Amino acid sequence: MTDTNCAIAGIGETAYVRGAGASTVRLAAECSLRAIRDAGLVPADIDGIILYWLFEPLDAVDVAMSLGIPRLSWMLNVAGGGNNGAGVVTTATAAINAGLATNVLCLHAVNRFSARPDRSGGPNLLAPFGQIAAPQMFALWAQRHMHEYGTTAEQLGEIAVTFRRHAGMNERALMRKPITLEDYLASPMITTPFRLLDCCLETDGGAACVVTSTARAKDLRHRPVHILGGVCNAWGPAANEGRTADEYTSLGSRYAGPRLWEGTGLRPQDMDFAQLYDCFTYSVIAQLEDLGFCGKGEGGAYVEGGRIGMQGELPLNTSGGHLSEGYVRTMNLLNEAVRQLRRDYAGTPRQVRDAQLGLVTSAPNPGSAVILARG
Amino acid sequence: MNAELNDTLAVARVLKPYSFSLPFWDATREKKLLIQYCRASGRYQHPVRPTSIYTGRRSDLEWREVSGRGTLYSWTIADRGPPAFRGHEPYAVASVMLEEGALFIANLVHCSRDALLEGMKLVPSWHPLGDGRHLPMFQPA
Repeated sequence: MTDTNCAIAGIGETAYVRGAGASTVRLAAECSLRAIRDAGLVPADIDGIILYWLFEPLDAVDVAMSLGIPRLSWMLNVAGGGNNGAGVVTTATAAINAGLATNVLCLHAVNRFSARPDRSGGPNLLAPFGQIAAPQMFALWAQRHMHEYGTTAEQLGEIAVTFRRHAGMNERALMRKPITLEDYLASPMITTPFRLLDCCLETDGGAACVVTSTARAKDLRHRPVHILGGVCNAWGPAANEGRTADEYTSLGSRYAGPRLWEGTGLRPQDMDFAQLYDCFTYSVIAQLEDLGFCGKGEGGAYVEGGRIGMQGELPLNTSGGHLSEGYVRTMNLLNEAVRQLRRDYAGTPRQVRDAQLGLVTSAPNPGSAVILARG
Repeated sequence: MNAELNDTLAVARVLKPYSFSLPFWDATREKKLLIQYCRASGRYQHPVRPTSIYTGRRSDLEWREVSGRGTLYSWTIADRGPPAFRGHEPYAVASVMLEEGALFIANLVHCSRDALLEGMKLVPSWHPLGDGRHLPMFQPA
């Protein structure tokens, strides 16, 4: 089994809210400071920053200034959304192993709810057809999946209901009120086949983690969470540009998966849990297939019967995920994985039993992923 | 759920084409559907790109007029559209598999919700944009 020889030493987040009343850089600084303190470090210990942004520009320089970090040896501002989360953590390990930095802050912060982005569409061939928002694109792929493989609304609903149940145990979650399959089916249609409850939560907030070498992490405050391997933005023509019929119902995880498993020598069945990028219920199904947890077209059946619940074979999105905890584009999924592997919830139903290995993914296309292990 | 779909003909369209997609829009003046064809791979591609998605080379690309005939590959009905489409919901967006093998995303018009079926045959329906150009939409054959 390979190892990046790096670990996550600290995590932090702001409250996940709708209406933060704070600038994105302030949210970024707040979650960053919490992650640094959680690691038992001070801002001056940070010498590398990698962040990604979408719609609301964010610059590592501003984050460093806000935190009073006196010097950085490495920084990287990545333009782009959800696919980058596990990718920046992977890139942080590469930077550390290359000797570019020692303690790297990875973060993402958004005013996704408050700072409504321009929705007039870009210079592409979609905006004139009113096909602009992410749910509309995922809806086309989901509808094809339902047609081709018989995936049902009830199966999508199982994901929404299960993740909401998990959120009910999570004080950080934006949406904690339990829902039933009937509630799911009765929720308003947004863009067929997606109902309101198929869609993640537009959220204001930030989440961050500190990555350092495993050797240094051993001396820090928490038991380290090892980063066994990662993939940063593996790409191929999945989804709307798929060159084969089955690629139309794949995401970037189709290309990230093989690299991840080959690189780490691990298999899907080795995972004690997974935090899969759930921008929509359907993205969970596509990723389960792409990553080899089940065969092509079997993702709908896979999520049935409690398999993805806390007591199931593969607990998924144990914080409630993007569907119910909040949408900080992977970084909140990552923090949840770290807490599970530290066993922060030991003795409660919120803890994944004997959690040793966990997977965190970032979609859509390209796809990123990391495998984390209890240190 | 409303069985009737809005054909969105009253929605004002603002085109912001890339320079490399101008031939596509110019051809719509004559209601011609131009698709990029990659000579090296013998395959079509859409949406319009500056280079061949199969070889990465610009020199492999040429424009070819296609019939516009195709089948419904996937679809969604937007019950909540973006600002320009507010009040014109529900409307249908189709992913059309053209006979030539490329997927083309466009509005599906003159079609009821109940008639929507993957595999149904579609033909172009040209919607005048008021400046001589047309928006390619699709309708049941």
